[in-house]
Amino acid sequence: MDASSRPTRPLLCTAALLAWGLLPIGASTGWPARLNATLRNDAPNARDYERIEHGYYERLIDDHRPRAVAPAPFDAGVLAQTVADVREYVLKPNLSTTHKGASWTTNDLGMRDASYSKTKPPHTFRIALVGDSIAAGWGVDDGLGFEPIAERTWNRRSTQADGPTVEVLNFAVPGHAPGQRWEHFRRVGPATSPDLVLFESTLADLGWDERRLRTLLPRGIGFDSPVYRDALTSLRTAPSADFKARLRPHRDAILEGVYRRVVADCREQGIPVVWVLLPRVGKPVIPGDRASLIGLARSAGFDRLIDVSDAFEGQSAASLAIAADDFHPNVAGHARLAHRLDAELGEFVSSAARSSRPKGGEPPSVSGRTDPAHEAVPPPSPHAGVAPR
Amino acid sequence: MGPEIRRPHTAELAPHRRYFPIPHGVDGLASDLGLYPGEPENCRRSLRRFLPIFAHMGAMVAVFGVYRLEGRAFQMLAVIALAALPIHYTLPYRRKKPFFVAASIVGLVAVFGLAASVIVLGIAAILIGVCYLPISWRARAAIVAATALTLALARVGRIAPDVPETVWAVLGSMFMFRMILYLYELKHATKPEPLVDTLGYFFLLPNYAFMHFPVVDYRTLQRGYFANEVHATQQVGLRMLFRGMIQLLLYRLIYHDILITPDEVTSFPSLMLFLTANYLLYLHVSGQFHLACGMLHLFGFSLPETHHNYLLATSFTDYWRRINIYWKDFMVRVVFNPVAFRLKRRPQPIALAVATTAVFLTTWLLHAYQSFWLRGSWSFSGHDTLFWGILGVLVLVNVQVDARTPRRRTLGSKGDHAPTPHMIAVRVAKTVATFLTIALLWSLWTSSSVMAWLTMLRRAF
Repeated sequence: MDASSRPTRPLLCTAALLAWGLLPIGASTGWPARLNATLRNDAPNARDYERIEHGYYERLIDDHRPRAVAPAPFDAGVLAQTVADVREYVLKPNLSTTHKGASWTTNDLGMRDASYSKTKPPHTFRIALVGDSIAAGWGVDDGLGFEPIAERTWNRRSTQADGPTVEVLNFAVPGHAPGQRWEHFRRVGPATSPDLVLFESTLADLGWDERRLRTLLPRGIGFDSPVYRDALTSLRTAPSADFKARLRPHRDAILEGVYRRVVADCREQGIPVVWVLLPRVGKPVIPGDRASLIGLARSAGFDRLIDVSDAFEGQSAASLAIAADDFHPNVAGHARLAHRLDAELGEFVSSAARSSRPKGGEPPSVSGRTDPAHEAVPPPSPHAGVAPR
Repeated sequence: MGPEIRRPHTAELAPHRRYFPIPHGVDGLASDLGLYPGEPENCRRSLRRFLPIFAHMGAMVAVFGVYRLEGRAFQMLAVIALAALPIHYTLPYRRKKPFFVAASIVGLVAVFGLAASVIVLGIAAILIGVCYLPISWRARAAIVAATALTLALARVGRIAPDVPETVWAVLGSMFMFRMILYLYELKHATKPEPLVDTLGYFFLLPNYAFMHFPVVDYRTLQRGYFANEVHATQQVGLRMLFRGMIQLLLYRLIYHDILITPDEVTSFPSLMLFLTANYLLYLHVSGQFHLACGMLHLFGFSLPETHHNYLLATSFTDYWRRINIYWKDFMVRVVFNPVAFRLKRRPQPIALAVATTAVFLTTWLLHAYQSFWLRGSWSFSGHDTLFWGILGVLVLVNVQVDARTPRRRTLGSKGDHAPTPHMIAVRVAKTVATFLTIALLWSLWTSSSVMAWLTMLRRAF
């Protein structure tokens, strides 16, 4: 057959694929919906797939994707050290290096952050940020992530108003699923006596814990972890089960279980907890996924939900990403995130800081909801940041 | 193991012999509609034929965007290709290749940014410049090798540690294999290669989305340039792009919905599922290669197909010829044929055995070399060595068997009678056996270690 004689079939198939791809995710149900979602899913597989999928060619393909820095998640490499629990790895403490072109410094608590005393100084309002690679400022130099920018802004505003020093302690670990993030904070965070917890999330969180558990559970890890125990007990998932088949239908329930644990732990400690939804550069915010995630956070009972997933709307991905095929924000992207977070949370932080630290007074306890300092914090307006779309 | 043994599945001739000099238009016809004076007939323009091609490419670029195929870098390059296509099409023939080089450099800058691109262009100028020095071939090759060694030191951070990481991957992707083929070509060339041909060989637009790029042969690329009627070439390219797109979508289905982890292998059926799905992940590579070569076709480069129904291979030599055909051609050209030629006075089985062993040894080393340039580490490992060793032995045995077996017509050959059920059954059995063996070997190659692989197999039986 002459190469040019019958071009219509591929053209028609292309048009059909295009029409199928343009259908909204929620326009169909059942297997067509699943198929549509799968075909449009360009997310890198989570690390449980990495071990089998990243053979010779996969490593080459992914590593040469044009990007200035390697993507998170990452296995324990130069920046991380393995741990024998559900977290799998944590950041190495006291590290000062340049990693893939970006300066990378960690303090003695293993946070990519400035040095802080473990004991909270007097007249200080501490915020704990719990998150993943975006919160850790992956791909940008030290001090240029949204967290340090927001910290400087909030601290300056507070001290100028004779309020307490505001510190934002960054507990984020690149590549950690929501449950792993919280497990890490549970182990190292409470000792730093935070007054407020920000739990960072992205749409990648949907299904992330479930995928991690598929790898962790066969190794006997995860069943006893408080962040997963409740969800796994309710699912009656026992060792040696077919984990993929058992866990996959319950990915939302697992994430909700993690969120409920976050809220329960914070309530127990008397610490307000705010859930923050961030965007990823170049990744569309799928309305159905966004609604699902917000629904889970809402039902878990976070004190406040902040949705800044539209922070990058109207901007070209190339101007906000650290590299062409990377979803991590660059310096400009982090600046936008910090600006949006300040717009949504700045007043709340200032108010909470002023109320929690009367000048010259003793630092109030954070151990109970009845603490006067916390009672002075304006009652968090649940879901205040969630604008209907 | 090469074309000497049996009829290749993809073409009758070796790739570098597949194309013939471009027929040039006769001066008297220069004023013909659709041709500038002196242009080859294959360049004749026709809006009626070009517009559907352009529309189809536009639809495919939209599909790439909607499904977010292969990331933003590829989508960016696809848009650049779409924008460059009508300009390239209308330009006079002599301007087409320089324009393609310019579009490729625009793609390089768009994807990697100005700073990294300037470094890449500077080093590329040095490497290419050395090839044009008026000194002996040996001296030029030695200087290129010394330059590569210096760059390798920079790759591991011994020198120039501030150079962005991506620079080395891009340079590696452009030069690590193509420079070998180019130098090989220069060695046998009777006259200097035109600079624009050289630039067009190293600066290939789709390369900047796919660092793991097919090893395009220099002479094949040049001889294929407008070797066929342009619209026919573009249609072939569209079909390649379409096939690549479908393969990448299939890959997603397997990657997200079918693939299980080695930890989940607990029975024979689950082992079969894992082996099959894990092997089919190669669709990612073949899909990318189709996209890359398809895009080159749009700009007039007629190239052979990169893969040929490799899942249907009926033997290990057949598999070697069907999967990554460019690599096979590369190895035949620079390793197999020279070794076999040196041993031409020895008995054929010995010559074949030595040449095949040399091919697999070189393939093993060059995969590590590729990994070094693209990832920064050599990635030698026990299971990697075992994979290439076992595959090499299988092909070696197969080559010897093939050499001793009298040639027979294969199914579908001219003059064949209808295949008997027995012939069909044998062919199916051979295909299934080859598939399963390769899938098993593939699982070894992609495993974390030999022990992990054996543990997985033990759980299945």
